[in-house]
Amino acid sequence: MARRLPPQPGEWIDREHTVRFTFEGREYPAFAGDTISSALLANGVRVLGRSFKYHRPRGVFSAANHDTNVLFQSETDFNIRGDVTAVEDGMKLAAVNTAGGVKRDRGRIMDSLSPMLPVGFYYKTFHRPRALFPFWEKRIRSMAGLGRVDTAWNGGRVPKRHAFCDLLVVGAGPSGLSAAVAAAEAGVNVWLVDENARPGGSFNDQEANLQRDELLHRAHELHNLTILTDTVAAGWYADHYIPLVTPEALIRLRARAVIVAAGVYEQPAVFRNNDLPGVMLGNAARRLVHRYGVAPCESTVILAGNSDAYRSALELQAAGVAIRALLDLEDPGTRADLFADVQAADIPVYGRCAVHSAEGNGILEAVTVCELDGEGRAKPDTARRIDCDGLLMSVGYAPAAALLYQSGAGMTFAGTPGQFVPESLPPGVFACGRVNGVFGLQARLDDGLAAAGEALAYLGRSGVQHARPGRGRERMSHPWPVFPHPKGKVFVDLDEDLQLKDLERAAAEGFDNIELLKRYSTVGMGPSQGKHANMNAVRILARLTGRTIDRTGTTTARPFHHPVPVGHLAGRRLRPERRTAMHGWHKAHGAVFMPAGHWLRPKYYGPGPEEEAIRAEVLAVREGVAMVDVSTLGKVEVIGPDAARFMDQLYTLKLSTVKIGRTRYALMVDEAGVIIDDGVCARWADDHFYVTTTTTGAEIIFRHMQRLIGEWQLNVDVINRTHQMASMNIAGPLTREVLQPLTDLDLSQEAFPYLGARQALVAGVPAWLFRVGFVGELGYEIHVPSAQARHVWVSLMAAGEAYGIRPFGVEAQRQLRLEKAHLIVGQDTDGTSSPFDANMNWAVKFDKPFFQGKRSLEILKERASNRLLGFRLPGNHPGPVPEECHLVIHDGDIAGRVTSIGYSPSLDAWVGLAMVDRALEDADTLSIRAAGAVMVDAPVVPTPFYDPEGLRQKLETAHEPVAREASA
Amino acid sequence: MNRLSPAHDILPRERFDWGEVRGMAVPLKAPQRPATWVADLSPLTRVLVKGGDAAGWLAARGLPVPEDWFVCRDLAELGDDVFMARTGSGEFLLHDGPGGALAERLGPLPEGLENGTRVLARDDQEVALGGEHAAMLMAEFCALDLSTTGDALLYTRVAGVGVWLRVEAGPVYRMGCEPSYGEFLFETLMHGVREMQGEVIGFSDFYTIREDPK
Repeated sequence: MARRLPPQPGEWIDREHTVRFTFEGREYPAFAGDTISSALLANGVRVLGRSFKYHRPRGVFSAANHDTNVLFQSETDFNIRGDVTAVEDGMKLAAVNTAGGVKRDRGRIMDSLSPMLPVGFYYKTFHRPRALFPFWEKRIRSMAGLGRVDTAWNGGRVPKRHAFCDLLVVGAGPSGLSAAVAAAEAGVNVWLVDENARPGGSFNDQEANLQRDELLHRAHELHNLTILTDTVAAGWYADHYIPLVTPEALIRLRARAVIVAAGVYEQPAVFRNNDLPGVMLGNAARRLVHRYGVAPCESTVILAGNSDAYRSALELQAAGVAIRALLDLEDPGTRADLFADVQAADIPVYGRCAVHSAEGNGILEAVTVCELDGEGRAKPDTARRIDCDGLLMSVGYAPAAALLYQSGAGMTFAGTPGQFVPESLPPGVFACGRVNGVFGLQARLDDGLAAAGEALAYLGRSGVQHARPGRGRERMSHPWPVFPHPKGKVFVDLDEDLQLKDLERAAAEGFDNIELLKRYSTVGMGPSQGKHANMNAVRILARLTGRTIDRTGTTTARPFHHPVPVGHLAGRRLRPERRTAMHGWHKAHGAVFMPAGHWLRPKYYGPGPEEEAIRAEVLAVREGVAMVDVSTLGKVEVIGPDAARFMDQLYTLKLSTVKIGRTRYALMVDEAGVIIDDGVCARWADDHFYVTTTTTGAEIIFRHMQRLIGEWQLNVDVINRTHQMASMNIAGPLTREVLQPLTDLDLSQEAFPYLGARQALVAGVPAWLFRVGFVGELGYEIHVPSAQARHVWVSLMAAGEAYGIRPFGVEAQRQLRLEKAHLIVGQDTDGTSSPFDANMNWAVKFDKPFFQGKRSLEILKERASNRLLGFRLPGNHPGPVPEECHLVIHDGDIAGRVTSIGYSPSLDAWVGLAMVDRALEDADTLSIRAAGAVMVDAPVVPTPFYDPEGLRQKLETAHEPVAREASA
Repeated sequence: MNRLSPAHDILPRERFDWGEVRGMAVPLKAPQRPATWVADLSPLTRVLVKGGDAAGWLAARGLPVPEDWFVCRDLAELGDDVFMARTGSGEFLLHDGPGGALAERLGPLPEGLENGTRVLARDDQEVALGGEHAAMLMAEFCALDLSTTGDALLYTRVAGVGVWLRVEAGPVYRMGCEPSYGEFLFETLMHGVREMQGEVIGFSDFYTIREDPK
């Protein structure tokens, strides 16, 4: 580890523990606590990755979680950020986005092609000729993206957790620590989060002193202060809802107040070859020295736009790095004591000088420096070369203000300190420290105290009262750290190799609004989301357009402002699934399930081909006995003195006249007269009804009922029994033989007639029985408490064994009901269908003072524009059979659609329903456009298709197997 | 014994002692006591009293009529784990303990309306989640701040399922959902517990822990 420095005070590495890892086939040692980047640099490896577009070599740049050209692929993960990810023993790493490794990347040819790839090249080039676009698309796609995704990956989901606190402090640097400790000491529940591996922020590498240890000690003593490191507060949502991305979880934190102390992002200067490995931000070098004990280079030039450059010079010199020159963009005399200190340390300082270009073949070897003219432009005739392997840039900062922007803060550009600062903040949001434009250490500590005081006051607590310290007099960001070069390669955005000329060209082409410039040029759209590019882009656009920085504005900072692993977003799969009480039985008996809303319902029972199984189930109902689980139907009890009136007002039929112990069909429309639900209504007492709803309508209709009770101010209650009551429908000519032995209820026609409702024991379980024509045969719907439902089901199955009973699923149920032309709400009807469209005039009783939708139906009665017609095709119909949604064509125009169709084994025919224009209501034949544009003429027939008189369900022809009708 | 828990098909069988509680077969004792656990308490009796004279119906049976809504009121005089809560102007949820004293007090529930009041047994999937990592699991499954609920009976969602929820000392999270979601809810919590190296415990185990949390 040639570049490893002697132990540094407070360093993050453990020199007692050595780990070994491999980078592109070569093994290296490192210390526990090293990042991948620091470990490689310690071993003298300076080229760590390749850029996205031109495959240019790149090295350490920020060492602050934004080195997006230094991403690695391991055996288990991809796009690992080298500047913040701890190296682990046994890691096998390679750089992403290379062909043949980082040293010999064959993609580097793109760099020499770069003059032919100006901004907007893709937009302008590949859309013509159109036929070639798929070719180019394929190639561009293969080149785009970083890392190699393991498509077999199916794990890596991390939990999402909810958490709550009084106060969230984002950023554990001096101001954040100061605020968090003060607030917690005042008694509120505080969370302090920081993206770094340790709290302290700039305390750790710029201002290490005793105040850090004292604050951290106080912090650790506080039980109401939770500190999370390696944690990014990735966005701000309404009511201070903040996603915290931690290595182990995505925490959805709800805070009552938020203090943003997120600091600043150091910004690079813009000059030729400013991307060469060896060129890095000043604070990156300080992090390498103080945190990891690594020398960033052997000899360096420092470009200064603020006093931090002088501090860097002194610290690096103390660490053994030779400082070749300190180039100040301004007059060094303004740096006061620091200038004197640097001079005392024999560091050569050059005032009003800049770097004109970095030199080197794939790695920094020297810099060319120039004097600046009065306008801040480099004077090429003053150029001279300084050999060095490091170039540190300390020219300015941009606030890490994404959360503030997202919270709705007003930000304005302040000439001093030379960055955007909060001008107004929404209630409950506070800012302190560098993001607030406050830079001096003591000032930041004081700013933190002041923010804590304001937050406590907002929370209704007292404890801290501290005045804001003011923003200081030093301009920390140089207004124009941009130095064009005729040979180009002057990079503004390293993420996507965006150059100064690209922005100039985009603005010249009319993309001179910052949002347009971003989208056209992609500045700020790479993995670092413009953290090191946006501010310079704003400066450049402002100068190009002659506007102020404020007027130029910034791009929108959307959450999440930092890349988040997909596994964090996925979280645990929590998709509730509803299962009936008989689910286990169905499963054990070969049910093939299908979803019905949240429910899982047996589609049919295997084994065997689906069609055969369904036909056998249909025939079992028609000729013997079978049972279906209908627990998914909605079930509501309606109780109270106004129950009958409520039912009359709720449904189109008159239900107040239903006798106790009887049932009646119930059809519901909305205020517009559109069918929204149907079911069966039973009456148990004058003030007690029980009504079923469709499966999908169960919850909606119940809520609808609750709302209408309030609106109509009726003395009635509704109780949702959908979940608590399971239900089954046993049907077929032999039903009575199966059911009678299990109940003391007299099932005779006289005692329990068609449409009757009874309460009795079935298999010893209290049950409600309804004799309804659900599938057009003698049948009983049996509702029982959920916990006992399987017992009843199993008992019936056992009792029916001698009669060949079998279960049937949803598909057979649909077919059986289609044969009876029982419509399915939402399938045979749509969002415009009234009862008159659906041929259900009989289900509307206008002789009631009021019911929901009455006024609309009075109008629609004469105006219904559609008709639901039945049609039939022979079972051996040659050619394609129409399917649901196939169109009915009349005179070349669309005149309707098929809503339901199925093969009826009972009739050996295809039967279907079609919603057609009213003009076709007397048509003999429907012309249906089937698959392959084949026109099928389907004869219109009366409905129901099967047992039109309903004799079988009424038991007037019981025990006589139905004769199959001949094919039409 | 003809009642089944909604989670019946997924409850562990091997090395668990099963038995019957109130006509329902459930695991009573687990082979060991894990640090984080989940228990199926579905056999317990829960009753909904609803209607215009619900308060009168309760009073006639010598039961208190709580004024505050959604506050659990323990009925210790009737036995361990017996509680009730008012959930509406004319609606009350009653929860019996393992001793069944409440059910005894109520007697056979009326088949239909009684003075305009409907009294219904609820076949909820009832679950208790507790132990070392229970709070962390609940933070994943429930969006509410459960650290400050006190005696509240919460109507909320756990793992996307609508539940009633009570937080007891420990914390132990008691919840019940409609039976159709029961298997999903129990399965989800069981997987979560197992990820934390926890396990299902039996019905009797739960009351043993309740008596001796250590």
